[in-house]
Amino acid sequence: MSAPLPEPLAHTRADFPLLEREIDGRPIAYLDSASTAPKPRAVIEAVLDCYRRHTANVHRGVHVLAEEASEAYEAARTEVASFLNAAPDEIVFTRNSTEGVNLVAHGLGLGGDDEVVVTALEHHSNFLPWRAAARAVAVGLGDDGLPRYDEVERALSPRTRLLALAQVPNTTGVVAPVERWVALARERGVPLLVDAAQSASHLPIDVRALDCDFLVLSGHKLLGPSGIGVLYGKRERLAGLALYQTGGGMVRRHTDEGFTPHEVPQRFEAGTPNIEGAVGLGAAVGYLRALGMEAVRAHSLALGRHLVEGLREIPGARIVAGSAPLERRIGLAAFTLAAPGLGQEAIARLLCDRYGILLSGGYHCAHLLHDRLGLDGTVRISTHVFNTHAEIDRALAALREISGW
Amino acid sequence: MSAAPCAGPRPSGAPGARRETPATVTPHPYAARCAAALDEALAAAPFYRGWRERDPGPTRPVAERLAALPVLSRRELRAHVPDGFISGGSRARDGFASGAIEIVSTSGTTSERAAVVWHQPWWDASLRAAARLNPALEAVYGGAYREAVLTSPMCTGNLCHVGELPAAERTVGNILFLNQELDPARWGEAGARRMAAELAAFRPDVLEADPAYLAALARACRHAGVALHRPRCIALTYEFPSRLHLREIRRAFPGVPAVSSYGSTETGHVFIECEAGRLHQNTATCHVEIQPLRAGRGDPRVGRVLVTTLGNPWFALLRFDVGDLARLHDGPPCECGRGDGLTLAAIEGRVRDLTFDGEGRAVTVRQVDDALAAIEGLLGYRVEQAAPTRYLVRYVAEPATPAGIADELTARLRALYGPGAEVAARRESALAPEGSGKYRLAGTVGEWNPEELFA
Repeated sequence: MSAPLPEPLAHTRADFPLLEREIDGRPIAYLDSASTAPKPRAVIEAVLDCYRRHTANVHRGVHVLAEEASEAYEAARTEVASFLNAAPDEIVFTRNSTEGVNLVAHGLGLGGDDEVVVTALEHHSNFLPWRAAARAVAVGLGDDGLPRYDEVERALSPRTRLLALAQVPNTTGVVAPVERWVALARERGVPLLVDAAQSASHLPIDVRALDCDFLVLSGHKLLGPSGIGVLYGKRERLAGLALYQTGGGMVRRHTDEGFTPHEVPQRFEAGTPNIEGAVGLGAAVGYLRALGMEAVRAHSLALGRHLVEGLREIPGARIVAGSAPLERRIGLAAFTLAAPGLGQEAIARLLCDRYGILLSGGYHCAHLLHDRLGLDGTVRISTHVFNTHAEIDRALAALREISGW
Repeated sequence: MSAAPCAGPRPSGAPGARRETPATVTPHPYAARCAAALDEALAAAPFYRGWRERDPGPTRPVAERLAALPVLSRRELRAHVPDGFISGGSRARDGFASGAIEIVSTSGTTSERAAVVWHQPWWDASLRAAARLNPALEAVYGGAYREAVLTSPMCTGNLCHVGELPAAERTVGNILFLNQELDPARWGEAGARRMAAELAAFRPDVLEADPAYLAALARACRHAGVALHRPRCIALTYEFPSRLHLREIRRAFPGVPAVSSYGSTETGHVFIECEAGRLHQNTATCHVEIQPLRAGRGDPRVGRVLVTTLGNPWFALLRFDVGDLARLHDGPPCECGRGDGLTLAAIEGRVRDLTFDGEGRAVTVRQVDDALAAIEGLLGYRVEQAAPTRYLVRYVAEPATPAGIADELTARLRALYGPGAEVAARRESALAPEGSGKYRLAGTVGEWNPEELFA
């Protein structure tokens, strides 16, 4: 009998009330954080506190509650900035990653002849906005779905206006060589956007060290509320973007002759923002920072290794980007399981209904990837800080059982 | 008159049904076939191992033996499909490998969803036998036919985010699947015209439809001035049909028989409406018990539907609780002349959709529907019980309906629930379906234990 694997973050489970849920009397194993992560009490309390004690608008009121709300909102911005090693005025609150990408796609004033270099497995949120505004040029995929990141140079042209890639794609769980793309972008003098929707929950992110121009993330995957996200941009890059939306809150002065917008970030936050969402996100990144992002990364890599090694031993399991080295994998893997009589969606449903294991089944907003690999959907397991090796083992055992039917 | 959790061909993956060699239903006397199914399941299906000691034994009448057993729930299906319900559970591997069986999922919301072992030949046999209980269905299903299906895409097996498929990709063999929207309110006129055009081009012999969806299509086409193709018959299934729906369907398809077909993905076709309007049991592929409400908890002629499947070599269900209520016919024999198995006066709706009057007696969806459906201008409703004597009825009405409709709704519900009932009415622009795509017509807020209701 092998010794139990270390579970250095197992103590966090007590912080997540959702993990107390049972289905049919069976405790759940929540392995779907790449879709949406459960919330720790710190986040729930922060959001409730907004409603209970600080309900007011931000940057407008002159009364005490309005000042408290503004303070909490801006404190959240500062917390997020520290999380990314950015300055607070480089942090724009958005609805989610998708809105951050759209804001940049719109703000760059792209035209039909302009090109944006991406990979073919980008999430729709980091593909369709470029495709809608310009021409998306995708580097190819290997036979197992791993992007040929090295081909980026061949994809560049004089018409290239931006490079955009996921730091960790939601279908591979493999850390992309962002640094190489950044170096190329610097060389060519074009900006680069990092989609950190997945990676922000698993890896320490230092935008200064990364030297990316833009970075987007979503609150709901990062233990925070839904409907709140972040666009980070270098000051000069944000300042160079055209206005995305106009309205209250983003304007310094409005006269008969025209209007003067605020400086960034407020110029991109028109209308009353998602105040409680931002405060909740601030609490979420505060929670992760208290755990220590290096510890979070080590935990995620350990779970990823355990997951992929386990999947490799299951007959009929085919892992997307299975050829990637284990040391580059976070705790996320998409795969198919060849089980006669069972489609991938049916497998995902069975894992819930029969085993209490909650994960994703489908295309994960990456249709091109599935088309190119000829897959009618995949099953995806994704972890977060509260997950344990034992939960991975529980999922692997269920998959082994199903594959043996 | 049907209330199937999800009946109809239910393949996995893309819409469509696989047709295989028909299964043969052994023509043993009914009681002997029931006893054989019971013996086989208890002896060889792993899940029933724990039930064996409750069986009084083969010397007792089969009805008595069944009545001594527990009720099988979806929760147990979820936990033990597939091997638990296959005689010699390890055969599942052979069944999957040979293509004899596959796993399909039902469309229900949390408490109703389940994975099911699907054996197409048995389903086809169930359909053919059931069709013989109504001449209009028999005329269609007795030979080659073309069928259009109109229901929630959740009932026809869609992987997420597949988007809109063209008609050719929604046509599998002889079946055209019309709808891909989770909410008919999103069809708009364009969607209704598209489906009407597809029906006109495909010219199905039979239209199998969720009554709420078909009524929505009929209403949209009426407003758009579009005539709908008239099939030889309509089979209504998938969910409880309100009389509001039936009125709209009959208006759109004059002269076309609309027949209620009650069943589920788990049980096959269980009851079929005859030409006299009653529902007869499909004794070829199932045995049915109606477990009555306890004395004082509602109409004693109403009970929950427990189905034991017959002749399915891959999925043996004993006393499976479908989750619906039925009312037994207690008059003289049905004038259609059929007398095998049970005869129902009506399907009464889902157990989970029960509401309760001031004295705690169960009020079925059909009773609510009987009270409200005749109101002029009413297009849809949902009754929510928030407290023992407090009710809210949300409703949708024709634009020109006078404001007095709210008073009529509340008056009728007060008459139904008793003089102490506090009833409020709230007009809505639309009523949303549940996640499963079905429309809840009534229900209570909060948890309650349905097991307490039955004798």
